[in-house]
Amino acid sequence: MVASVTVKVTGDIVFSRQKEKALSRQSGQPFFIRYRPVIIPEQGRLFLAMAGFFLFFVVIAMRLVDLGGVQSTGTVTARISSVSEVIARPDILDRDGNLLATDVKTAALHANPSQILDVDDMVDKLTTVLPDLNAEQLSKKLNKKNSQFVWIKRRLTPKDEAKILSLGLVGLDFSHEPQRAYPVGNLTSHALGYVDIDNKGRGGIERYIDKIAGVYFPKVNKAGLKPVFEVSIDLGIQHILRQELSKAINIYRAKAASGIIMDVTSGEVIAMSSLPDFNPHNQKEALEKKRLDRNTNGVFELGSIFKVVTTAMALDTGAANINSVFDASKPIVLGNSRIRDYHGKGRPLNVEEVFIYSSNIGSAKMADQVGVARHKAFLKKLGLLTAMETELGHHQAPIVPKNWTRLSTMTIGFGHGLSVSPLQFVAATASLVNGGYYVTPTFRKRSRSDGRALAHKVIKSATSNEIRQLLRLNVVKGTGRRADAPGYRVGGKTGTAEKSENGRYNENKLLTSFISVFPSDDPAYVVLVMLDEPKSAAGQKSRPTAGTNAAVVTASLISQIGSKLGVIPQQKSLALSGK
Amino acid sequence: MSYIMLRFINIILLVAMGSMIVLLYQLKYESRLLSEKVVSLAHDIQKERDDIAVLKAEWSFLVRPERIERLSKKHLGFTAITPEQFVTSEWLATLNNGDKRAALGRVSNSKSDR
Repeated sequence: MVASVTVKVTGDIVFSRQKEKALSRQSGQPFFIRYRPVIIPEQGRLFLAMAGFFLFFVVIAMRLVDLGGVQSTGTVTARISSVSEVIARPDILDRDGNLLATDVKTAALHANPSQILDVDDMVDKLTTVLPDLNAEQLSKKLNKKNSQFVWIKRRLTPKDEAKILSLGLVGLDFSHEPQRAYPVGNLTSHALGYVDIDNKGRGGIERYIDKIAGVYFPKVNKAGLKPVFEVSIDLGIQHILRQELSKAINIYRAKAASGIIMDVTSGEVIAMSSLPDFNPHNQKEALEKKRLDRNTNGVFELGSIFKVVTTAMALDTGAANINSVFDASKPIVLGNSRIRDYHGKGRPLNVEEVFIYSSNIGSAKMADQVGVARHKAFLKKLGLLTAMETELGHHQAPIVPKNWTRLSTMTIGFGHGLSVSPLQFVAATASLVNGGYYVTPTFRKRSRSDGRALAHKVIKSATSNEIRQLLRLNVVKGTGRRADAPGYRVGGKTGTAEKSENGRYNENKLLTSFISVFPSDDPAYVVLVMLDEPKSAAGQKSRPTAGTNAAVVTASLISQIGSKLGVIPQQKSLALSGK
Repeated sequence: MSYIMLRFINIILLVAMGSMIVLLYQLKYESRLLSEKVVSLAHDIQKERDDIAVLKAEWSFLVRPERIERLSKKHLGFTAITPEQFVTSEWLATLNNGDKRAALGRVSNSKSDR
């Protein structure tokens, strides 16, 4: 008895089964009753030790796995991303994938003067590679022996960098920084905008990318590939537009020219140009006032092209129908103001004649019949009274008369007294001819079905049809005859506005414009061409009205872009027999 | 038997621990080499990407429409396509063979004018 108690207390290790049995026999009790309280601390200690070792090995095994793989890859990815993080701007591509803007890494050369062995030798060698360096200034800089760091030149080309490296000079070093490059230069400058020295977007799509960067563009995606941003611009069409405008500036000695080509259904701006434009690599140039984008930053009294809106309004509100007649035989006199026609017919005109002869009197009367309230509501519906907003930001707000009188309605009827931005007007026109759906212009690639889904109905389909026909008629036999690009069924309206100077209209300073749609039987595109202060072309006697310049530019433009935009020209039947 | 087993287990564990230490060292060494390789490859990749970006920009500069147009005018003598050069397949189907040839000839003639 006592012995077994001793065993219990001292905790001798009891291993053998014989011993267990002997012990239980000694106490006269079944061994599991006698034995259990004894054995638990013995075996428990063993198990505890084993569990301890087991845990120890598990920890070692885990650490092994940890050290072997996971941890090191973690540090590697961290190191890689820190290399490419600075180049965070996405490439900008046109609608066909042509590169419009990208980041390239440029080298910046700096020196540590305290390490330089032979300053004169270094100056000599560097100036042969970089001829535009000033040798005197450079040697002065490099002779500051107590300084540790001086810039020599930033934004080197990769070629120059390689040449300098091959010189093998001690004390020189490069750091790399991303630089935005615009391979097509001025061509798309207004739509794209530019970036400042810190690679931050200033203006245009670049600023928009910054604004949405957190949402759409991770710094670097998993594959390490840079994200891209696709704009609606078609580089080829953009080139043709810009070229035609620059030709027009030469031929008509215009101060400036601008143009927009927009898809009437998707609302995509296919091309937009405003001359003079700027080099996106040159920030100073971008800020010059005369180089601002006239299409989104300028507001103009557009003149007669506004009659498209007035006519659509009169027809859609029911104030007039296509056969209504307006007496244009005498100028309208309202208070001190007289509204007269430039090429007056001096007789009553129906809606069609008012349109194709561009009668101010007729349009004023048309607007008057609609009335001030409905006029305002209609313009508002077409987005012509408030600032437009696209990816390029808030556009210049329209200048709306503070006190909108009956006279205001009449003058706005033929395009004076309300200044709107050209892009705003293009969007309104697109909505009038596309079946009557108001479409917001966009600079991002968008499908036609998406554009239609976002649009809302503003005028009746029937009115839209009548406007198309009027526009075509005006090119066939009205003021827009010279805008006809054979085969493309161009429809359009001329606008010759006198610019207002100190509150008076100057008849020698004109703003001519031509708004057109093609093909007019099923409009796909709207084109606006605007010339600022054009003069008569060489050998041209008549006044430089829109019909003699902007319309001509439009014809040349559409005949070049038509087929490229997928509009199949309608040909006169080919006379084969007998030839 | 239990003493023997315990000793046996202990020896196995000791051997396992020893071999794991060796293995760990080997793996760590290997992984350090590999990670150096990864870093250097990543640098190479980055450099290639940077070079590609420059080349793409250069390419895009070289194929800008203005230049291509100038070159094409100088070397190819192409002119803008005219509406007469478009024929629909339906229209072609209505012609007999002689007329078809004439039509095609007309199209290619107006192309090679000038």
